[in-house]
Amino acid sequence: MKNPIDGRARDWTYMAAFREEDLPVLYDMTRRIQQTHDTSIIEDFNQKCELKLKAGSNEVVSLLSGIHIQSVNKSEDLMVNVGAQQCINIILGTSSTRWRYMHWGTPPDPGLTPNVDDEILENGSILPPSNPIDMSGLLGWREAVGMKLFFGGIRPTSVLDTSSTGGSAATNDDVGEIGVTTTNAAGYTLLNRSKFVKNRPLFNGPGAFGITDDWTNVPNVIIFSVVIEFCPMA
Amino acid sequence: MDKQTELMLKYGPKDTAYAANWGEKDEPLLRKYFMKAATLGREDNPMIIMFFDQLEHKWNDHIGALEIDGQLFEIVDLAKTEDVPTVQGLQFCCLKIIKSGLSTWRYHGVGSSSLEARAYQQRLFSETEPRADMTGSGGAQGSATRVSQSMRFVGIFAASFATITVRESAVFTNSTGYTSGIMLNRQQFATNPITHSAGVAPFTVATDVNFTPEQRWL
Repeated sequence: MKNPIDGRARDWTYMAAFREEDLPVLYDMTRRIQQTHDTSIIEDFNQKCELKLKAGSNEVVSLLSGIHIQSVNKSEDLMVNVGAQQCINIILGTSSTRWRYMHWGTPPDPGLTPNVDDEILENGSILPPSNPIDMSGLLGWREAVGMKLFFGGIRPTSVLDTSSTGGSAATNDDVGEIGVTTTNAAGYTLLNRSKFVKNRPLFNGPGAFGITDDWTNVPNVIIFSVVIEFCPMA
Repeated sequence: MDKQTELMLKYGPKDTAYAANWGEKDEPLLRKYFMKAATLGREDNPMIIMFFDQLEHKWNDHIGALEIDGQLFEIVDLAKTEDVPTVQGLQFCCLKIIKSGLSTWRYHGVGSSSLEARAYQQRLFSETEPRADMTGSGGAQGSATRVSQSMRFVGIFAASFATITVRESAVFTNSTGYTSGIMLNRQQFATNPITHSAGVAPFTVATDVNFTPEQRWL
């Protein structure tokens, strides 16, 4: 008897903040992933997030495209049971509904601890078009590499302003949880639940302000990157 | 043991397999059981749950029996092992989760090699064909279903199947050979293989691949 081993797939998620002016470069990054399925771009992104976490907030860490990561938060939570069941249904061909949306929520801190029996996010309202993020388009990626699944999504910088035709409104959401889902409506199936309990990067749209490493107030763009690993490689 | 197999056993899905001999007159009952099971769907099917429960019951030195149309039939002989999913099998599962249009896990194969199971293996080493088609013929050759967070595969091998000592088994995407298709797992019945004699009685091979196994102490 040594250590307890959990055979459940491992799940970790990065939430990285960028300056708003880097948004075109980030869109170009997701476009290249979508078109070429070049997963080394995703792996570079995740590695740089990890590096930024270890290096600390004062170190400059750049992606392959040259833009700087402003701040990173990481969650190591879990794939939920209904997510594992849907994965098996897809593998066996009894369902063709694949993982398509990145759903985020704004739960209280610390709120509820993620549990394998979770079927929805703690506080993730369905507010199209900003939430959930559709990963099948240019706002994200969905790739399989080896025994891992990669999902990613760019949180847009503004939401549709329903009070003003043709307008958009800034958001000021404190993102605290992430989940990959099948649909963008109530009744979705949840793959995983990742909770960020401390030091959340604030999301801010145009006209609002976020936290950057140099502590100047500029708008932030946030990218969520989820990794599901069924077994590590030697 | 190589590092990858060790990692698979520690962190990968838990793979448990049973090989069972049935009675001489049980082949029609066995087929009828799985054909009826096929009508109950491929998710949390109660007849598949019952089948695996009876295998485990037999393994624990109790009577393992099934009932269909008021007729009871028993497991005669049983082997059990816990071996490994393969690397390429899990990779293919991940690809299937993302990408549509790929082939599915459909065939169950058996062999007589006593070579130990490893995560990098891509074939059975002394296979006797044909493989059982688990999703064809309305369930007459077995089933491929989900029970909770497990994939459960059952292959039925007819009494007429060639004489063999069943020491290895695996699930495949293809019906024959190794040049195309993927092998999901490899099971090796090291110390307690069952023996099948052609023309006497049917046997089954059943596999449970659990994606959320309970905490293990290794």
